[in-house]
Amino acid sequence: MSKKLIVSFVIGVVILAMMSACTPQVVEKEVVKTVVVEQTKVVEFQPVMAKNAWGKELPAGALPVDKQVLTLPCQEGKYMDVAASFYDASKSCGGVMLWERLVMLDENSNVVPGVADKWEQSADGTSWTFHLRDGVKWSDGSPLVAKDFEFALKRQLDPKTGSGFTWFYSDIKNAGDVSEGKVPTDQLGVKATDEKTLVIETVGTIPYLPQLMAFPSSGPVPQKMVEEFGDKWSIDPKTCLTNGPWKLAEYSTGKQIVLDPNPNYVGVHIPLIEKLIFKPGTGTADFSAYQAGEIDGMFADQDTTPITPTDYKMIIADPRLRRELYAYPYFATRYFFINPTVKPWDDLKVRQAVAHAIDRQALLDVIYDGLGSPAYGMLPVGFPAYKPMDEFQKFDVKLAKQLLSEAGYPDGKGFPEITLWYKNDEEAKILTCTMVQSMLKENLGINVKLQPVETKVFNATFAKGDIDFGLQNWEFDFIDPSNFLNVWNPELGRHKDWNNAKFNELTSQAASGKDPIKRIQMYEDANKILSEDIGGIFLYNWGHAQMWKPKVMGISKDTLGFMRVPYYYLGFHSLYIGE
Amino acid sequence: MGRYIFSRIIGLLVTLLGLSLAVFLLMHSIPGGPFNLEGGDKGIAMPEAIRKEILKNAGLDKPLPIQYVNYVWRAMHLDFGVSFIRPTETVTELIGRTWMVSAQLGVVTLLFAVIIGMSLGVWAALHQNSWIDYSATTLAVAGSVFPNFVIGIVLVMVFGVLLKWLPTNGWDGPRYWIMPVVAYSLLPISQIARFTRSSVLEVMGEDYVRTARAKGLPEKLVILKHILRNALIPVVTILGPLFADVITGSFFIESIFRIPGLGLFFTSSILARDYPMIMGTTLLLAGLLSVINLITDLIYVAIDPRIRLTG
Amino acid sequence: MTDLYSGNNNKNSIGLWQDAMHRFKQNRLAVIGLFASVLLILVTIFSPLISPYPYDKQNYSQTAKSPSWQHPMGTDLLGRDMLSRVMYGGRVSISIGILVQLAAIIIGLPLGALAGYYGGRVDYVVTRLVEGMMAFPSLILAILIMVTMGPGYLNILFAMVIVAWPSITRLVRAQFLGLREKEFVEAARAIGASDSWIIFRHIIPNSIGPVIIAVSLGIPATIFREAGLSFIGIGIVPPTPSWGQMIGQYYLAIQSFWFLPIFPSLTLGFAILAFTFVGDGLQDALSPRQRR
Repeated sequence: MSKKLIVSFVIGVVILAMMSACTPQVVEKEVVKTVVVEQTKVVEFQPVMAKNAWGKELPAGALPVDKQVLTLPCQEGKYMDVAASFYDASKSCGGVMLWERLVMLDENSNVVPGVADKWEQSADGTSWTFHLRDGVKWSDGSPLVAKDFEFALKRQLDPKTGSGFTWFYSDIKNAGDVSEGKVPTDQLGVKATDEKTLVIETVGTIPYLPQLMAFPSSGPVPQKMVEEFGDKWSIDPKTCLTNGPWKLAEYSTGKQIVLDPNPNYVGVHIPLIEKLIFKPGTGTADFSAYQAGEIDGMFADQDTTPITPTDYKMIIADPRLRRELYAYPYFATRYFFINPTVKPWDDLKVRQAVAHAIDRQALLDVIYDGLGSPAYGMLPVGFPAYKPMDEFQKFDVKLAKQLLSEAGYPDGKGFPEITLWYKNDEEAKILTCTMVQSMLKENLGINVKLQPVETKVFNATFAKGDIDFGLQNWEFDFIDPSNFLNVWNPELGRHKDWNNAKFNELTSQAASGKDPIKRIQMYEDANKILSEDIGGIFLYNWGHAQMWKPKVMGISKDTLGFMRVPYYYLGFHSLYIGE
Repeated sequence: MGRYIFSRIIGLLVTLLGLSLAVFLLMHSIPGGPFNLEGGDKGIAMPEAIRKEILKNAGLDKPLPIQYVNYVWRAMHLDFGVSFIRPTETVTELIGRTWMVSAQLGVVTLLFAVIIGMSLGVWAALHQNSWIDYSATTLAVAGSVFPNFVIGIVLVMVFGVLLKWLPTNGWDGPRYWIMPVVAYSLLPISQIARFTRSSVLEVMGEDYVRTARAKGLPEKLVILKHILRNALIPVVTILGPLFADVITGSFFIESIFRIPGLGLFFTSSILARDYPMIMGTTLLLAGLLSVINLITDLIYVAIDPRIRLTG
Repeated sequence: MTDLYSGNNNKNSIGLWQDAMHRFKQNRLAVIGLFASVLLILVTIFSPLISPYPYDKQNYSQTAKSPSWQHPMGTDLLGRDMLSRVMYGGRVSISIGILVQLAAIIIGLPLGALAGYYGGRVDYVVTRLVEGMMAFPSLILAILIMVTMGPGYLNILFAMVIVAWPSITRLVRAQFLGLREKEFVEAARAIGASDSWIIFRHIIPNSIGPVIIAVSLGIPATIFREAGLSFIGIGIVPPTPSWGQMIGQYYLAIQSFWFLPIFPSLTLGFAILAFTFVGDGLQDALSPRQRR
């Protein structure tokens, strides 16, 4: 044979050898359990699929177990303890995943079993009972009992803990009084009647209590660790006991937070991802880190790293990035609140004119590339008690001009300059206000002075009641109209200037109403009043977006066909790394 | 000399005290507090009992003058309190951690800038008005044109995102240092290079240089023994303030490259109203600046005995 | 060094200023810088008249468009013309640079003069004040002030002035300290000239050189600082544009919308360069060192 042939043959062999070395191997792991199970199966000539640390089989196409690692961005907080101070904790650094709650929510926001496998409401509707499943443990092997949940809730409502999240549990009996220090914590309507049973008494009939218990702040807390180590218990892997599929492996503040499999996990939500590495940052440089491949995903689920409108435009313009984008509608409303007790807002016609002068679709198109829906009322599209009703606030320039004339300011003449306050922490808010300023000038001839301020300054000024015209949002905490509408009742929520007696009556009654159908009707009516009287000028329900590298698979899809990773609940449990 | 140093240190402490008062007052006049007592984003105010508890734990329930006095008293015992935002770490620990990073960035940048800057300056001066001089000077000037954050952005885009040669953020090892140091050092390089150049040129025109040459000393020795030695002394004097600038002004670089340093932390402390951190960081930086100034002044005297120390 | 008076009598010796101007004109870079600076200043002053569009005119059908004939620098996310915004932003940035230095002189010159000339207690107080301010890292001080006062044009002017006045004061003081001992001052006193006469007719004209240099180099420094503060979002806030703010808003978009941060960056660099050349040129012209 000629030299050439030999050489090319050798090269071919080398290439083939390299190729075979590159294809993924199926790893054969030895797990004692496997043998026991396999004996009952028909023996087929099949490669044994890898099993992960919890004994679950990896799906076809998944990379080997040691490659099931996700690296993600996060915002570091004070500590991991989400049950002490939800907003201050490192919730986005894995804090919401370490503790499995009594119940959890699936991708369609339905309540599914968690630590509890059964739960029911009492016949008179004043309490809920949760039954824990057998054999649940803490990550150190010690048993997890109902008292751990009782301790967690009492601790959270105890004034000494200093939690800013107590309002969330105001539906539990005596929660209000406990958090105000009026009664001792053992008066709280949460009791572990035995090791596996937890009874929660409510103020009125609260159909959505399980949803409250599914929230990440409702997890169990290991009493002895807290009592012995104080706040440090949740940032030291040695003392941070968890009951979820993962445990805390490393907490290097400022550098990385690592979650490893919890071998003592007893439950039905077994994940496929073994290890999670969270890299704390400031949020702004995340997108370049994502593009450089240093992190595997960007998720904008409830105030973790949002994707800015500029990023978003860039993503949809790039076909490759667009494929990695997962956009979905979100239960949140952005709106302007007004003080109808001062001029010029005291005239309903003025409020109406401004509401009709804003092109909400344009806002959505420019800022979110159309992802979302225009809002004419407080309840977001698809929420219970939501009804489409655009007649009170829809975009109609002619009508707006006419109303403004009728109010005494034809073409905006004589209209005082109004100041619009907003937080300058997000590009979307800045763009919204800048666009509205321009719309009001063009459509009505009125001058709006923009007052962008730092978040804390805004909150402080708002709390004093000094803002007459400002931008706010409300994002859902649980699926019930009260979550959104109570905000406008001066006794129950944060907006105190617009005070409508009928609205207040409806929302207060509905809060403890027993008849679910009547309740929904009451909330529908209340929503209508709010919209009609223009307590707020509602702008839009915006969508959220996440980005995930192609290798991240198993992203859950909800009944409407939207794919996303619901971070607070079970989103990460179905993810795995594939080809 | 000893008396001079002593009086300077006293002055330093007085300045720090005054500064601490100014910052304390400024801090407490910013609306909003560290704890979102009025309810943060959701706007639902915390119950009175909880608010009282939180303020008590943080020592913020006492009247301002008492708070200030408490702070100064503890500070004199080197206890700077616990961070409000990271209650698991004391201010000293936190500052120590982040300060290490900023100091590293500063020192590496300055070393880099000194080496490159001085070389450029000397080279340009020795070949005055040749193309070497012009290109070196232009290069030096170019470094001062764009703010360091602009250069940093471009570097991140090109080398981090597009080419993926270097990591885009973090500070975990020498690889992470390359882009931030390059971006941050361009301005100091420019300043050092220009100053070195003019210093060398000035020395070159001096009589003793001509004398040395007239004596027949080889050019290399002239350069080494006479020109450089005398020209570099004034350059050393600008290094002090430059060092101070570099150490304290790293905020933009830290922000773009997400380097967990003091500058970044300081700004986030202000935004979070982390009073102990704000006070601690300010005192540290101001103290550092003053110490560097003192050392620089002492070096001036040591080098040039003609300068007298005024009180 | 010759002083002002010989210029009028003796045709063969050149006055300081004429000498300096002559040298300045010979420095090509400085002259270019001067032209560029003046051009920038004029463009930004007249920007509302000469910009192709109003800087705040939004156009939702033209968002984020690449540079074209209608929009040489492209459009931003709300469809506003970037060229107009960069021009208007220049107005903001350059005016801050110049105004701040002017204010620094207005404060620093009298203070430094009093301290340097009269010495004693006045000097003591002023020096302590200046030292105290300079002990504070300027960037940190600026950030602290801006967060307290909130963003905005007037606030950032204030913050920048606070940062700039100490060094001018110190410089003026040092000049006065040195010049007060000079022979011509003694001579003037011997004749019976009053203090203010001496200050205004003798010392100020002779000390103005370094001050001019400091101010002219201070302009690009101030522009840089404002750009930095606006970059991180606590300086000039939208919708008013400023170069630093536009860079900060759009730098992450550099991959897809490169023109958004690049044009403000180039303009910023150009302005800083131009003013720096002028300052360098003045420095070379007023304190000649490299005589060959």
